[in-house]
Amino acid sequence: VKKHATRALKNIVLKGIHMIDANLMKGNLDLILLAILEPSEMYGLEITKEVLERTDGYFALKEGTLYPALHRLEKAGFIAGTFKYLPRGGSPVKFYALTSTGSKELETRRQAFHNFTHAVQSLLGES
Amino acid sequence: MKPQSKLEKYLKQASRGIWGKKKLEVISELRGNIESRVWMLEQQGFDGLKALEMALDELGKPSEINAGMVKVHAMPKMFKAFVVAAMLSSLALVNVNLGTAQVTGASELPVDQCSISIFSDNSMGVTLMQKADKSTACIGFWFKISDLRNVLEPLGVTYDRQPSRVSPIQNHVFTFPDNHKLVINPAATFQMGKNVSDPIKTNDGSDADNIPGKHLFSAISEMIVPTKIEGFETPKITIGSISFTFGTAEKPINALSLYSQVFQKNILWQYFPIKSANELLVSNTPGGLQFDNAAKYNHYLKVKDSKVGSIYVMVYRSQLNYFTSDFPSKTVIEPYKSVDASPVFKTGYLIYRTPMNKLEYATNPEKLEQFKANSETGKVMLMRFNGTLNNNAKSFEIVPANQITEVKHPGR
Repeated sequence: VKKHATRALKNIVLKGIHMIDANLMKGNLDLILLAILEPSEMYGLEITKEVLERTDGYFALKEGTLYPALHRLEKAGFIAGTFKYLPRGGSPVKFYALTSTGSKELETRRQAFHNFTHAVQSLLGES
Repeated sequence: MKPQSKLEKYLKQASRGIWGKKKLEVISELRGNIESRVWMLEQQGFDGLKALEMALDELGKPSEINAGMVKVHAMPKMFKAFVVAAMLSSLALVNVNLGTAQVTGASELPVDQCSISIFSDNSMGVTLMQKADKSTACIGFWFKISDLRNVLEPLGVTYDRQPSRVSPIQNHVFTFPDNHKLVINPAATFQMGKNVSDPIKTNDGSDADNIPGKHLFSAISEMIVPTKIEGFETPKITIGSISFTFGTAEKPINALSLYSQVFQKNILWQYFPIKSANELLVSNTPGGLQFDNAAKYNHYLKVKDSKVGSIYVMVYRSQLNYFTSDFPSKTVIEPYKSVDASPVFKTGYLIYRTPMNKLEYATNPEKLEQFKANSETGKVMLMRFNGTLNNNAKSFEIVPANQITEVKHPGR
């Protein structure tokens, strides 16, 4: 019983941590995607890999979240998608690039995020 | 479940509830990404089916993607209500065919006509196959306009006949979303303003609906949207975000099929429009014949009479003595002779280097005259192997004439 209780507790804790990460991710997904696309256009799989690499595996972006988010940003005019063929052949992939509106939006969100983290750090006594 | 059906099922689930052009876009995007994953996994040594399973697994549940997508692309409620009302009030049965649809009209031609003389004029690609009853047959890429309409019209493409600039026979015109047009020349025998035929005569000459595949491919090459033709016996055609495949009349049962399914998907038919005189689109061809778009501005060909035109390349498998394609035309201006496994020819001519190992793919030395140039269409057409077909084969090259200095021709 103790063993099961410990495992259940561990799961709840892990789930809690995961949920915090997931919520952080969700709350900042647009910012993350706009920032990822800032230097160059990318398609879905590249974006996933890039996020994983740049955060040392901290953020594992799920496609279930990624594609709807990309489409939402595209609909908002922050990014623009174009189908292109890859050297591998096969079907084309949709590359997304930041639009000029998207660049402005990125700057706004980036600034807001810095302000927010700075304020939180001040509260935590870390700044 | 077959890999293809598995993929289609996934795409269908992921795009459920999304409509029209957006649905096609979502499907195309997911398909492209899934194929990328599969390709990467295959490079790591996983076989096709396993790679697909892993790719889909990594992508996550289709329902999750779908839930997010529907939120973004769901129809406005008022519009949705209107559509539902309209559908309820209609007694018509609508068969909406989205995603990768199939054209089933690729024709089987009689085996006794399976010769280059028959197919050279009209056929896009021909292969000899062995059927289930062990008999052989030729399969050519002929298709029916009606089949094409059945596939494309539900996807929002409209069809019309419109006058041709060069022929008394009207063109078949498909207008795609965004107003891009696919204009198919119906004439099998095509000369400027005369000697045209409509309907195309096929095996029995009775089908008014049959069109040689090369006419479709040529028409596709004229479009300004991204287009792609892949595969041989069952080529998959992509025009913008719309894809469809040709089915052969019967599937071959064994090695008489030129390519296995694996190889079929690695073959890409391409037309390359020539933008200026003396421009030839060429590139190195590791592992097979390949063209590189990027090379087109750096390679030039000056042909004998200063005209530049289409180059038709034929590839065959020597041991089995059948070929994949030949594209001679009555409008040939200069037959370019090629040399099997020979490094040089003559200034002003193409050099066509073939693999030394004839167990695999090579140009057909008996059909050298088929490798020709054509000034009328102003295009180069090649069969591009996108992948390594034969690791032992030497590069298969077409060399720009201005790089040729030596004149040799074995056997002459």
